[in-house]
Order: sequence, then structure tokens, then C-alpha cells
Amino acid sequence: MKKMLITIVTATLAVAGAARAESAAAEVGKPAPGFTLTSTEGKEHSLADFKGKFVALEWTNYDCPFVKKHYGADNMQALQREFTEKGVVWLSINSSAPGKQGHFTPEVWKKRMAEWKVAATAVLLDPDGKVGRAYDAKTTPHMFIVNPEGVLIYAGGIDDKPSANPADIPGAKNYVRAALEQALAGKPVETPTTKPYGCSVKY
Amino acid sequence: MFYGLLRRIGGWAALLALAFLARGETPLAASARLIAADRVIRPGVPFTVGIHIRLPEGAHIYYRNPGDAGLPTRVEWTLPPGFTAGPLQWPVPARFAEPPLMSHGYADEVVFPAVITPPPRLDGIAAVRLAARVDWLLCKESCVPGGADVALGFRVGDAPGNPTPDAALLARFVARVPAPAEGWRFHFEEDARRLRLFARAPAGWTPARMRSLIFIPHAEDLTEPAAPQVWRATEAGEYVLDLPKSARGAAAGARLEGILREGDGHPPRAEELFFSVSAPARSNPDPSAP
Repeated sequence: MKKMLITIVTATLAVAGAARAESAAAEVGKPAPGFTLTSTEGKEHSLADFKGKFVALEWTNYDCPFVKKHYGADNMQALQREFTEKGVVWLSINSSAPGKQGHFTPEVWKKRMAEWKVAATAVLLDPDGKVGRAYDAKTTPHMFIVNPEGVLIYAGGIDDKPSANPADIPGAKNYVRAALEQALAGKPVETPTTKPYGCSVKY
Repeated sequence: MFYGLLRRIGGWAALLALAFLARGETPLAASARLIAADRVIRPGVPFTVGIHIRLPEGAHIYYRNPGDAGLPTRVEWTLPPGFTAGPLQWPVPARFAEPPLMSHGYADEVVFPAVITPPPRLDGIAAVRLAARVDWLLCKESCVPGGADVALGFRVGDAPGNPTPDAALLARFVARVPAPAEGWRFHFEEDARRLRLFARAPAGWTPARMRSLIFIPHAEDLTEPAAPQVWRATEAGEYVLDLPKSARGAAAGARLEGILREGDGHPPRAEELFFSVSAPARSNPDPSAP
């Protein structure tokens, strides 16, 4: 009897836990899930620290060919420079688990970031994948934009050409640039959700 | 649509392979060729060819609906004047789980069949060459975009030729293209958040066996590929499957097209059950449905 009761309680807790995770999941138009992560510089950054600013979140894995497409062509860094100059906070997040592709020591991160002249505000490490799962980050890259009130206003791909070929960049519509330009001009984001494309996040 | 621009990827993939070699790693690469069961073409008589792709161990390429990540494999034909190619046929894919993500594709080897129709007259033509460009994304732990130009020569004749050594391989994968199954009836309903697939199963399908059936829609980004699939029996004697829509929440429209397969395809079995589904939208939604 006691064992059965424990089973029921455990099952109830499991269901409640699942429901809580679901209600906290990232959804455009709702508050973005909060987080605190450590950067490659060893500094803690919380989403809440940036209230009052637009925040771009970029899920990344420097060894993924789709990420290499955008960094090799200076496309991602150009976006980082353009919008951090306009006051946007740009956080790259890596959710690769230890031992998986794209998981590096802070020293390797710094070297790789210098090689590519990465211009993000910070690169944050999420080795247990908790933040990635909270945002339902599926691919690298997978892009999100949070407005100054902390509401998620964009989730999806970087552009409309799902390929790993850098030759496709010039002809692509960059959803992140469009969304940030619209949001900074005080307009609603025209295309708030798109399908992200790339490598799977290496949880 | 995107892939016209992908044509130059071959050269780029070669550069990537060189980069791997420079780092002392084995490049992840697949090989492809065009196969046929018969090398004689008769004027006006459609015939089936196939694009055979062999993959390195543990790697996969993607189905038309790749799931959470990856890119669909893509084929573009280059045919002689008057020849037409039917749609690429997709053998039943396996599911590849990378929790919390799910993708759909092929491991080991696959043949994508297509029906080629020659023009009704081939006067004065003794031989023709069919060619195609195939592009894929090959993933193991990491992913490498790749592709190949494949071609095959044929003789023009009046009577069928002898079966080629590839006839059995092509037939094996033609048989793996899901077709409608007898005795099943489907319809679906949808709202902003989910699709509901209703099935009336032939006799002998128990609730336990129904639970082994996995639905994969043809359309990319329609449903959440990793969502658990749980068939329930209704009081009306049907089975129903709830499929949460993706965050983009596109409408399925008038018909929900896809496949049902038993199990996720691991380990591969010689005898597998799979069939195609073309479910019309229910015209009069039953408000008493659970």
C-alpha cells in the first residue's frame, strides 16, 4: 500500500514537473525563459541583467558546417557588429555536452573566437543543455530575439536559404536583421517564427 | 527551390574534405550512382531508374521531411529532349533520435527510384544518356554537405533487354516506397496547436499493435518530430493520434499526407510494415470526439 502511494505521488510529481517545463518553454509573444550562464571569460551573465535592451540569442557550435558558413563569410560577425553598435546585446550560446562536437575548454573558445573575430557581447556555455532545452533550441544556428520588456519576439532561422553553402548568403533574406531593424524602429516583427536550419544541437 | 543555388556545393564540399585531410581526419563521404534494371529504352515506354547512395557506417542522410535538423536529399535531372522524370520516390525512412531532437533519414544505403518517360519517337537515336545531380547532408556526429553527378547510358531498342546486376537492388527499394494499404481509412482534424489523425484499422489491429505505428508527415515543419505518439482507441471504434504542431503552426490544408511505419526502423528488418496515408480533412468535425 505504502509502495503504491509512493508510486502515485511520484507519478503526480512527474506530471506536474512536465507541465511546469512546458509552460516555461520559449514561445514568441511570451516572456523569454530566464537564465544565468557563465561566459568563455568566466563571467556570469543573466538575461535579467539586460532588461531594457534588445537581446539577440544565437545558438552556436563552431564545428558545425552551417555555423562555419555564416562565420567563414563574416555574415554572423557583421550582424553582431551592426547590432551591438546599435545597443543590442548579442549572446552566443553553446549547448554542446562535454565530449560532443563543439564543446571546448575556455582556452580553445578564446582562440576560435579570435580567429573568427567574433563580435558577440559574450559567448555563454550551457554544457548541461538546460537553457537550450528551455528555448527548444534545435539547430546551430538557431536565433532568438528578446525585447526590452523581456518578451520573446523572434525564434527561428538566420535566413531563408537552408544550406551549408556560403554562396547562398548574398541572395538570402536575413530574418534576424529584418526582425531587429523592425523592432528597433518600434514596429512589430513581420516574420516572428521561421524554421531554424543547421546541425542538431549536440545535447 | 533553394537548391538551384546549391549546385556549386560540390566544389565547396571538396574543399571541406581537403580541410579534414589536412587535420588528419577521415572525411565523412558517401558515394552515389545511377542504376537501372534494364539498359534498353523503348520509345514511349516509361521505366524506373534509381539513385543508389552508399553511406559510411553510422552516418545518415535525410528524408524529404528531415525532422528537427538536417536537409532533405535533393535530385535534379538532366535528361535528353522529350524525356520527363516523375517525382522522386522516397523509400520508408528510419527515425534517428538525438534527444530532445528527432530526424528522419537513411543509414547504410538507399535507392531513390523515379519513373522516366521517353518521348513516343526516338527515330535515328541509338543511345541516350540520363544524368542527375544529387545533393545531401551526411551526418554522423558531425555533418558534411555533399553530392554527386551521376549518369547512365542506355541503348534504344524495340524489346526489353536483359536484367542488369542492379535489377534486384532497384526492386528492393521500389518495394520500400510506402503505398496505400488496403482496409485502412483515415481522416484528420486540426486546430492552431495540433493535428488529430483518425484511423479505422482493418480487423486484427489491437490497441497494442497500433501503438507501434509512427506517423511521419510528408511536409517539413508541420508537426513536432520528437513529440511522443500515443494512439488511443475511441468509442466509435477508431484510433486517434494527437500530433502537436510545430511552433510555426502551418495549416495542413485539405489533406494530411504522410506515412505510417511500424517501429522506428532500428535495427533494420527485412520485413517491415509501412504504408502511405492521405487523410482528408473531416468535413463535419465530431464535437463528441475526445
